[in-house]
Amino acid sequence: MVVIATVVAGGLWYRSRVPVLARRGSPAAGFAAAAPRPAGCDGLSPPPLPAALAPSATSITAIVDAIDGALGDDHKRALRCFSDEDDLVARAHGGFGAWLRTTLHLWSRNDTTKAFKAIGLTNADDMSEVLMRVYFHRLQGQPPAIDETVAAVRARSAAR
Amino acid sequence: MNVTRAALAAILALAAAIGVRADGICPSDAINDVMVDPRVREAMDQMWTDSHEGQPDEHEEGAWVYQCQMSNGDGTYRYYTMVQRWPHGTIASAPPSPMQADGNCRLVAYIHTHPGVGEKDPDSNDKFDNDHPSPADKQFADQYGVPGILRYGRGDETYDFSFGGLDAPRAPTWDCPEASASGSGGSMGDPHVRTLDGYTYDFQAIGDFSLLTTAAGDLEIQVRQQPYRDLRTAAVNSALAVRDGPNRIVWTTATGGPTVNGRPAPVAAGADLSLPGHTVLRRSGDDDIVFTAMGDRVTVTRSAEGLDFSVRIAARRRGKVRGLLGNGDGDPDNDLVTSDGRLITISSTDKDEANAPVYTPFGNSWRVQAGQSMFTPAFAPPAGVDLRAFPYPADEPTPERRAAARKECAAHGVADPLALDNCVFDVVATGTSAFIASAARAERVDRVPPPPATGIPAAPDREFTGAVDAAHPTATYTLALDAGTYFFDARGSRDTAWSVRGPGRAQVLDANQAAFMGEYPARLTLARGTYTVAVSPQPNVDRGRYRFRVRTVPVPPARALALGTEVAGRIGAVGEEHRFQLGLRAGRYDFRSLAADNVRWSLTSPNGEELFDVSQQESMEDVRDLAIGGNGTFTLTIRGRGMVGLGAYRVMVVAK
Repeated sequence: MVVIATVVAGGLWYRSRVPVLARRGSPAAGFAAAAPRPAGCDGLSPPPLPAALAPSATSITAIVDAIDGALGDDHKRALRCFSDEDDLVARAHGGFGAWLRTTLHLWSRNDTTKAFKAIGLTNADDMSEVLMRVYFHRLQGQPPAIDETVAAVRARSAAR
Repeated sequence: MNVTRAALAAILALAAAIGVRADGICPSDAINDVMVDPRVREAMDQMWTDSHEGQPDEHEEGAWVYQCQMSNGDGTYRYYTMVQRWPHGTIASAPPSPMQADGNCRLVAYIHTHPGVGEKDPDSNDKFDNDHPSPADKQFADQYGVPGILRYGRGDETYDFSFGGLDAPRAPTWDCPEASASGSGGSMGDPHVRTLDGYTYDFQAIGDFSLLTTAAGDLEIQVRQQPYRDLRTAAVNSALAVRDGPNRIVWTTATGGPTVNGRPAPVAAGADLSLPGHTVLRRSGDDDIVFTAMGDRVTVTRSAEGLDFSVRIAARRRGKVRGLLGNGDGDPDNDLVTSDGRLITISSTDKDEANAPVYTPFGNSWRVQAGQSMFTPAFAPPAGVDLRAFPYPADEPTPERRAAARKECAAHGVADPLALDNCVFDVVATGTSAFIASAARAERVDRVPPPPATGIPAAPDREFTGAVDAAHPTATYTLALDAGTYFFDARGSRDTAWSVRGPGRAQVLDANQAAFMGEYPARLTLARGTYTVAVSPQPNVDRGRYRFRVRTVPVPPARALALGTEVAGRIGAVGEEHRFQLGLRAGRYDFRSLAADNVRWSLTSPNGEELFDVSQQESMEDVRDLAIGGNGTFTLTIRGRGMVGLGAYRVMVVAK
């Protein structure tokens, strides 16, 4: 229920914001086809992500708070270096995304995944994608746009 | 992320320690072939174990799959598959590329696990749909330009699934050395067919034909050819059908297409249409591409007047298909096999009759039988057109007409000798420029690169191909041969001349053989030594393309043949000859050809005089009442028609 309340609130506040993935077609295919990295990003080598993350959080806002608390400045600097949220999802799905799925046990049935299921997200990859996008919004100083992000990820997953 | 040389060495050492295979067979990078690679399967089993599926700490594991090529230093290569596991706790999981310190590796797939399917409980409606790739999985695959392989399941019951990235560009990468010579074929223009192994022939027949069938019956490709407009001398590909498992995909010039199982199946640009059984139909630029479940690829392009298409088969099908596109075993010279298994060999020395066997018996044998066509309605030739007489004889074009056509084709950038010949043929035959674009496209697809170096190590019974032009005027190969008999076979070369020099730089080809590479094959008995093959454009042209193969020829010992005794045999290898010693006295004899298929014979006297040689005749015929002037041992020689034919014979010599 906490999750639902958060989503509604996000929707009221930030309804005008359209997530990046809803504005784009298919991502550009091709080896190393990502957009240019922002200046100062070459050579970054953040330490390994922490082994644990609050596993009992049941709202997207709370999880994003936990992520922000767990990551160091080097991690955040590296995440800001992705050119946009699509770039982050495309290139870090097997890194940062896998870390989220593992540390939050998104492959299992637990309170966190039940809360995601309650808002229509049943695939661990979709759950981590929402978290990656919303956290990227935070890192960029943007509104979280949780409900739009959830809706867009859910729609894309349903259309596969 | 860059990988240092030391780190790469450590990776390679680890790969070696866990049993990486290395062999001389260039691996296929088709995803369904990668999936069954033993090294990949071993890694996936380990990753599934490490995922702790069903346990409290269950999680996903991932890895990159590389295929690596290492030179043996003698022009040959060995290959191995390397699987590099993703480390935990990184932000990005970009593949460490390029990896060229100790081997030349190409990224061919990523693999990962989806644990947790055990949480799915249909009764509670608690859906955790981990049995298919997510949009993020596909986006990840597209980002790195490779397909993904997903393993999901419960406990020991696991399933593997491939997805995404099927046709994305990959770099850095490499192709199998033999890739340009085998594995892909097609048809374009006023149909010019290229077999899967690279043999080319003109085929202006009309009707429905079987291009490719598999023994397992899982894949079949048919083409419909119709007269070009109201001409009786030119044809065009008017429809193509691909059946992969349960899916029948058809294109026609009349309706556009494609259709899938009879229903229109429009695919948006850049989009995929996934069909049952893992067939994928993709719209890519002007092309439609079918990716079959086995990893075959069929690319269809609509030209102004017909359909052009290319077919690339999965590696595991090599040598296991048949039809107008040949058997795909890597040897272009055994591709013309009729549906009843008869090999047709064509020598370019008998040009006037060279193309006739392409129609009968070869082409006609691959007509689709009534009721087996994948096209509707059934094919019907235009009124007054004899199906089996098509194409009708055409007047020889004037030199001026050919020159004008050549100039027009060249103006559109068609320069490769093969593509240019086809282009000129089409312009002359159709009287239009409609097919020039097809020729230009074929040139891009079938372009033969110049050789990478001079003095390339060559070996018997291997194919060597390349192009020579003003920038690369000569290609040279060195060839170490044991003493023996060899057949210098350059069928398929265009506009090139060659020389073969032995120890002491002695020329071993005669003038005709040297000047017209491919038209006059040479059967040579050579001493042990190192030979040099040099290829260059013919004097009157500025570019050419070549392919040659120095075949080892079995030399059966000469046998005694008694008068009145029937003898039978088979010429089973290109360049093979059977010789018989005949003790004859002065008198008259009949040389009876009781049965002969694609073979010729000759008789030489004890002093080397040739008494008859019918090798240029249509068939091996009886030689009746031949006068022999003196006593001695004569030699009867039987060889394949046009030097390259393979076939059987049965003969007898009787005194009158």
